[in-house]
Amino acid sequence: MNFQRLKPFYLWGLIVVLSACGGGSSSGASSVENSSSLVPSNVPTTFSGIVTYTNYPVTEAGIDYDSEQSKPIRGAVIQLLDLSGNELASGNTGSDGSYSLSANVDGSARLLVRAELGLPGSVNTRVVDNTSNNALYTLFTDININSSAVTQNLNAGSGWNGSRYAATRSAGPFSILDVIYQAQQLVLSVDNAALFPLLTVNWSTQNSSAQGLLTDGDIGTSFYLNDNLYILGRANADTDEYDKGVIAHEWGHYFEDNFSRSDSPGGSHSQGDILHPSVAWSEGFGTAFAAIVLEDPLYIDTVGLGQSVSDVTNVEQDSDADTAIFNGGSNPLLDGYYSETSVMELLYDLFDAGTADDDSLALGFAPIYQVLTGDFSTTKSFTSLFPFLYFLKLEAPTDGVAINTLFSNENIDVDNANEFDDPSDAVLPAIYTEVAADMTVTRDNKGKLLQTSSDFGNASSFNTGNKLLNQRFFKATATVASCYTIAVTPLTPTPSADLALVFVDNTNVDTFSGGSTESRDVNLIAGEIVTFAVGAFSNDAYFSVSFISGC
Amino acid sequence: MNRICAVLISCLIAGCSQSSIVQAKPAAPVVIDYDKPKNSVVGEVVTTTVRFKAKTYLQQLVVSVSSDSGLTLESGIDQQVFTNIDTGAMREIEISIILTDVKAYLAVAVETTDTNGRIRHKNKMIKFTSDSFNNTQSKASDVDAGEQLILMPAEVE
Repeated sequence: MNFQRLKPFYLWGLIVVLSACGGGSSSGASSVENSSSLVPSNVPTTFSGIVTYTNYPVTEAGIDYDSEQSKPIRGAVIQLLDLSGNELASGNTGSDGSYSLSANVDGSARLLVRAELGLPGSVNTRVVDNTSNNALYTLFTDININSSAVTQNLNAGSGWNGSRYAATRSAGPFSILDVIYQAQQLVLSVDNAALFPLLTVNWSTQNSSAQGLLTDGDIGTSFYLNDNLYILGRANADTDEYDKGVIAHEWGHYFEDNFSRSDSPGGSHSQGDILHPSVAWSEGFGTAFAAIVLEDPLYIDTVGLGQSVSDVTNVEQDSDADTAIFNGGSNPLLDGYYSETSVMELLYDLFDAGTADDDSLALGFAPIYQVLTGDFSTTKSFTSLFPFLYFLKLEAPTDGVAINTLFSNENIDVDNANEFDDPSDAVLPAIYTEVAADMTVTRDNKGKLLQTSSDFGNASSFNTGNKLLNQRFFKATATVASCYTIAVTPLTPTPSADLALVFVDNTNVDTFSGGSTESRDVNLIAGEIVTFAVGAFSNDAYFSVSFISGC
Repeated sequence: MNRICAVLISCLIAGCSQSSIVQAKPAAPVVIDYDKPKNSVVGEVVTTTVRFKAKTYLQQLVVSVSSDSGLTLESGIDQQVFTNIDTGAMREIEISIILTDVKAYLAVAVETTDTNGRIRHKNKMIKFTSDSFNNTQSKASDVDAGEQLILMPAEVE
């Protein structure tokens, strides 16, 4: 399907001239049924066809360019425009990429497939070029009308010439869009009333791993931020438009943000890291969600020259031996509530079924969705495997034993139904330290001085870190209805430490000054619980925590 | 003060919000850092040091360096293999390039192997610009000129 590439407006002008001269069917720009006569403008013309994009599967050896596929562009907004660019008709492509539009057309028209999902005029997803004024990607062809029924198929080509990208990579935005279509369909399959807030996907062939201005394409990596996805696209370095697992993973963060809740501080992470529990949850969820959306346990991220190298994660496999220890010695096991790998494997095991399933549970997506959008989204505790486990067992009570077995196998303490109690880990301190009303504490539940720790990764002067113990967690319960002041103060030997007080939903208290007390007043009713975390903009900061009534 | 600036800059880029949290895809367990390249002149040699800090014990770290665009490698290695790197330990290489364009990218690719034999990859682009590079030329316009479209010709039968 090699179509001669002409600059759009040159092509448009050419067609206008051809049309004016009575030509058209020989222009090569359209395939028209019954080309025997021109159609009067007062007779509606029906336009129909299939819209596709060129896809390539990703394998353990990178993108498989030898296995070209034609995939439907599903759910995209499609417009019919007149010569002046005015809309004559619009609609959406179907689940097979088909479309049908009808309008009174005089002579020529343009079909425009927009990289958008949602109803025309009320879209919920757009794929734009962040290096080109956020312009929307569209696919077009121009048609001379000489029949009352025009059949026109369109394909978004990949630009791959057999050895490199040598032409416009039109398929890229639509490959991304199709993953999001699938993710939305998954959500709609369990909640047909789901509404999707506007998501902007920023993709460009200039988007690289360089750090700098997003508008220059120097995006660093593919990521989610505030209802925006930024996706890598620079060839021979790291492209992600065909890495559907990466797209679905990042959309999973959008899902958390808009349908559930994430208390993750974000940041870079690797499988095998000992992570902040909310980071482990969020990133593990993203990868499991990708496998669920794509119905494929293989998460593949291609990279390198010719997109020929892959990082592969099989969420159906137990990737870390049950006895594997982080860096050896007396460190914790690799498996645990702090492992994104544990989270992704557990979530997928809860979901999957069929002959490849290696566990007794096959809950599907519905109970997971119910938990995530229900009590989990309002839990007092920081988002992690623990509140998920707690609420899942309430959602699926008859599967409690099997769920416990599954989680125990990943070194998750299932005896405490949430994480407020000590998980009985011999190596790690309790996740939460209790602070009694009108008390100041300087030691954790195991009697050790309160401090942030760089055991599993560093904090910096710009962020408090996203590894386990970079932040310490606290729980306080109001004894009477009152206003309470929560305060954290640096202590010797780090009296100048710059602390941050962090609440669920990532609302922070931070005065940007070292050596200062950080505090917040909260109004609580008797018996109400408040949780919070303390981090520092330097490693290994010592501090105290107080919870005082009567502010 | 630096942190205040960083927060302000991130606010400008992403908008200030309680949820301005960047959630990235998983990456190889190595932090790639480098001396920020100074503006230079096309045709002159520029040298930078690239550092690799292991986030976990690495059996092996393979570093490959190549020109992505706008430069040629002048000296130094284009591939190096490091072995047995402890958590937190650093390795570095020095690279000299010559700019052939006002804006250039150096591609740094790494392959890590951890104690479990897990192999992971990471790519890092390092951007070089010359003194004559106008950094505003590729920035988005603040002017709302209405809907802007990228028109990509369809392949048609």
